[in-house]
Amino acid sequence: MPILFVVVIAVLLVLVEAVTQNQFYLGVFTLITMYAVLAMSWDILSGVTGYLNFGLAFPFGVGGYTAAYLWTAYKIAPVEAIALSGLSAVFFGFLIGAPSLRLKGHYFIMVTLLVPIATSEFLDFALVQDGSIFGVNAVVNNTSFVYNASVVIFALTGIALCAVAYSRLGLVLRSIKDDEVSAQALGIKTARYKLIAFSLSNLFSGMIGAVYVFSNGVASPTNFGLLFSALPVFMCALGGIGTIVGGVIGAFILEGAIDFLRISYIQDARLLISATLLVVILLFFPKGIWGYVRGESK
Amino acid sequence: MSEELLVVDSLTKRFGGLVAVNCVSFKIGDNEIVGLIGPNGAGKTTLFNLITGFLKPDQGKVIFCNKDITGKSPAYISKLGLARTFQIVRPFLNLKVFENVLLAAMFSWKREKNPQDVVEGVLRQLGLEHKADVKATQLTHGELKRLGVAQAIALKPRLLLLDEPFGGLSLKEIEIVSEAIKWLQKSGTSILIVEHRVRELMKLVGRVIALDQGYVIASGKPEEVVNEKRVIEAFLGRGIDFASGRRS
Repeated sequence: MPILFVVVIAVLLVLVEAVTQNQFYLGVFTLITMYAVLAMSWDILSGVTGYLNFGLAFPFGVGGYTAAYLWTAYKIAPVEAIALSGLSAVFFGFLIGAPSLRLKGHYFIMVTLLVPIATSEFLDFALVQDGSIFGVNAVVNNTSFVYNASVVIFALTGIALCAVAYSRLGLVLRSIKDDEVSAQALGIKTARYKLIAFSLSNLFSGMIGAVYVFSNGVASPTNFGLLFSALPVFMCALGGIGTIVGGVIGAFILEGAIDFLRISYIQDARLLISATLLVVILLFFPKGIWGYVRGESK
Repeated sequence: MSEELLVVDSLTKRFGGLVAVNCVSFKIGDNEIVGLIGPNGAGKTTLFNLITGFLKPDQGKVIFCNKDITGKSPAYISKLGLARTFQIVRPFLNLKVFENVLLAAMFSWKREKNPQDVVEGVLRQLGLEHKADVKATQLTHGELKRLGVAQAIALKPRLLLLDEPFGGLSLKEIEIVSEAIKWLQKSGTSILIVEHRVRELMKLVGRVIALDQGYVIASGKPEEVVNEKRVIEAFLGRGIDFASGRRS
């Protein structure tokens, strides 16, 4: 059921491209797709496994920088660069995660919150010292490539993460969220499973971070910005935390609202409207939209 | 005499100035059900935590199946086939009953091929089969307790430590749990039970260890231990010699 949902959305996204070549619409759907990938990546570690990560911008930014660097310095083709960026995000995530996943509750949140900020500050500093590597130009001036790449990664992420979350592995992850001490008492090596969830989260965030850089044409410290950490969290809350597909629904509603409200004369108030929307929906559907739908169908 | 399954050798744990467990030594053999009794604060739960790796002892050794497991991690110890339940039940409240037991069966040290089958058998044994698809939050206290025991049984351990499995249960439920424990023993597991319901416990165990203020004060057959003076004193307090005005 969740995998089917992801496939249907992916097919619809492909249809969008078949119907319109309008650059604005394709751009909006690219952004929505990217945020959907980020939201699902956030959900596997934070929603399913229960380790709240407020630093998703870190793998996102690392992936972006890796892609830009590989493309400019070694002329590695975008597709390969995207794949390698995912692995790079997993590697750097491991350096952060190996020590920080031992922390619990708000201590873990604080670390994840600070890491992208620190990285961004460092890159800002390095940009002044040496403009050669940091702030990389990576122009792949092709809307269609960027759109297709996001849709492919979206499908990949959705299918992989749904398969994980709704399997026995997902059950183990949910048990960690529920009570990590009890999980350990059953002989579950929780550290290993947390790292699996963390790495999956980083892999897909890193890949989509690379696509973002190719669509923007530049990797800069803003790739580590707070928005890439925060919006996926809101999207999951909106759609239903711990469901994977909830993040997709949230991405469509929230990012869709933010972008399509640009069209009309209310564009100055679009962030306010989006925020109000978020509050209202959370007020009436505290378990998120997907949680509400599932609860009704039972 | 067969090889000892568990050897606890002069185990000691201090919390600041308080010695919670003081030089405790005992052994548990294969296929034995042993009771551990003692008043509140005697150190029973601390002892459990020391054996299962949730606390690190200050002194002493724990040997399980001829392996030194002193200070090892709970997950490592559990993988060797030593499982426990908690005094305060800790199933996964947001997971279904079936999922709770399935997790235990999946991580049994025996590596079951079909954990699903094990789960169904265990749930039936504890009378929880009709609750399989219910979330654990919706269970009554007695059902939660039984779920905890079900998880422990699904682990198919070599040695099971049960912390107050009867606490807050009705007599009928105690019957069910007792039957399940006997059933587990028949399949080759040794069991160490901490329990305040001494009368129900005595029907079940072959041997009793009595603990008070961190010391082992008596050990042996149930009827001998419960009649020992020091045990009665530990539970009921000492008599007062009114003639001298002193505590005897």
